[in-house]
Amino acid sequence: MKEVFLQFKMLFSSPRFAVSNPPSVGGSLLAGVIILLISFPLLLVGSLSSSTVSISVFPPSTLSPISAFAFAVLTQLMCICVPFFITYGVDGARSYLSNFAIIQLPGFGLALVGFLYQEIFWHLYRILPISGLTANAIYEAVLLLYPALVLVLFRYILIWKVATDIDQSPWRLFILIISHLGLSGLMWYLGGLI
Amino acid sequence: MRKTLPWLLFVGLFVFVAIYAFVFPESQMPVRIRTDKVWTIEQPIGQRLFESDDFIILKNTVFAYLNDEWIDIGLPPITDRVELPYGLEWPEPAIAMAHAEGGTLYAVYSSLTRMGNSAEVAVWDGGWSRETVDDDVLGLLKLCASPEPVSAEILKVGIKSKIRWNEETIEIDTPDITGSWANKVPTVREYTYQINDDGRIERLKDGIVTAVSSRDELNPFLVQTEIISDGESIYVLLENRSEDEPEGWVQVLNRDLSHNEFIVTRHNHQPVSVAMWGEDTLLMLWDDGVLSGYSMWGQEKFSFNLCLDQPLDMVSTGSVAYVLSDRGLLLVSPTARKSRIDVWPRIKMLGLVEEPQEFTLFIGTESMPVIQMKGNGIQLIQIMGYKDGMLATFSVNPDELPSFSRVAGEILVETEEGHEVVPCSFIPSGLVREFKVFSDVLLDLESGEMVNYEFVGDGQISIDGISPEIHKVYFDHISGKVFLVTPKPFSPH
Repeated sequence: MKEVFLQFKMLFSSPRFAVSNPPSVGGSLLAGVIILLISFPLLLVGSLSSSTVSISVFPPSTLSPISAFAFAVLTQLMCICVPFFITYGVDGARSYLSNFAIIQLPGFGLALVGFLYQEIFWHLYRILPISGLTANAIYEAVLLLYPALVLVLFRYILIWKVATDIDQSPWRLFILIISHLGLSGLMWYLGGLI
Repeated sequence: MRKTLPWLLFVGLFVFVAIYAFVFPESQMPVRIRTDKVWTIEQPIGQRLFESDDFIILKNTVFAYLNDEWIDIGLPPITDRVELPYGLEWPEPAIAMAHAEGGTLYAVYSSLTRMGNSAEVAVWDGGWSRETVDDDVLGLLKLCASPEPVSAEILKVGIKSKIRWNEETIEIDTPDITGSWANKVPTVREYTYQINDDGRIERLKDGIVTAVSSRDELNPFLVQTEIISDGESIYVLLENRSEDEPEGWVQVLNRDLSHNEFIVTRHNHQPVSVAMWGEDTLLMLWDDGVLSGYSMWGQEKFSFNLCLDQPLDMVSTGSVAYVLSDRGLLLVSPTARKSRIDVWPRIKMLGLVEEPQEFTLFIGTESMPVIQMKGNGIQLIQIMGYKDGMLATFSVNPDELPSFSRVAGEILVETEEGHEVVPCSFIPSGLVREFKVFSDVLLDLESGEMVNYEFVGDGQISIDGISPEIHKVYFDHISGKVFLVTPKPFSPH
């Protein structure tokens, strides 16, 4: 776990170096699952629903919290780990899994933003002397949607860095993107069936 | 890169917020709408008041024949109208026109002709200008203003089964939408329904009338014009033909035609047509070109302005709607998208509020919602269970608020499903009386009372018994109307 915390610390000074020096697969998986376990209830009570890409692509809302969590972890592995395996083989999957925890960190940030908005900023809005559709949209965009957008982008940047750390071949990156999109679409379809 | 990143994020914040807030302020709205022109009418259609080789004069615009095509030149611009307090509007004036030789068109707003032997009129001679004319032309104008029988009209055959055009001089290719327009006779189980000649609804089984609705509870000005069904109930569009209350309702009847309830109306707007969209949405087309969607209990789901001058009719195939206007046929495709939180953005615009009144807000949740208010003048009275949700009742009190200024606030609704912001607004109006001007008296359009008046110069009038310290008089010589306004709390503003 110490390696994981060191990697987190390094994330803010050099993201490239952080993903190039990952902790062990076991430690990263354990820390990642702990982050997911903390993030999930935050998402359930926060303003960003569990369908936010921080946890999984599109987990079905009809599932019980435990099933939704299982589906979210499965989706995470299917949509990111499998494309890494298809593109880069066993090394790719191992590289993703050893960076599993650090990739969940922006997801935790998203869950936290949604939670803070619901529990603090929304209540603040109620007492502020502003009203109107546009005012509401500005308030929501500044305090909820823009931070969420930045964190989602940051998460994809991290995944990109993990991929390019293994191999910078454009063709392989293309395969990775296509397989990610294809499997995300499949999981979205499966989520819709449940 | 590390130095530029914070600036990049900072600039990105403004760009994102600007786009999000100003382009999509109703971003949680679960319906988007797309309009496509099915076909455009090359020649103007509608109720023709006057027609010659050079001009076609319709009720709301004028077409001139220029360079081998009909050009919309509009009505002459209205100038010199007194500005009314916020929330009040002058009515559209009646207009009279005359066509002189040489391609000149004279136009005058009707009330001016009473003011003397000559008047300033608008003249079209390649462009609108102003000219003073005498009795001869004024007489001509009066003659041309008489509405002749309509030379072009739209026929509704049965209940929306077909739309056709009986204007002989205009060739219109009706698009092949026969299938879409068919099968619009409302049916509930084995019964079909229709409007009979005396304005009541008939229920038929195998062609035999088995029930007839009663008009006992209906205002005599309310006329049933369309009926649709969702397979359970009958929804009847009621047009209000009274000039004083130009608003209509949708009456909901059960299949036995006993009265159920009235839903859906818009202040000062007449409904043109009603249709079903999907299984649970009433589409309403209003006379100002606004297309609104309502739940079956009358809760507004969405509202879009289709930017039509004269909407005429609408039919729906279930997933899309065809809207007919004086300029052509539009295909309107509302698209539902799943909202992140189950929130229906609603706006409560109450318009002019003279006396304390109440309004309701339906909240689709089974648990007790938490409701808070932002702003003045609106208070929550009670929350009670209603059908599959809760009905919150609010009171609006315009007393002690400055008259004729917009009071805006928000109703904040929190449920287990999430939170909803319902912007609301109203205009405390004080007391407003509307008069029609005659040569020697003013007629109160609501009470029928007549009062004396006199001109006091500058085109203004003074009314007997009215103190200018407390009341304000607004006179419009173009429409011949007077507003007498007493601001609350009974002091001039």
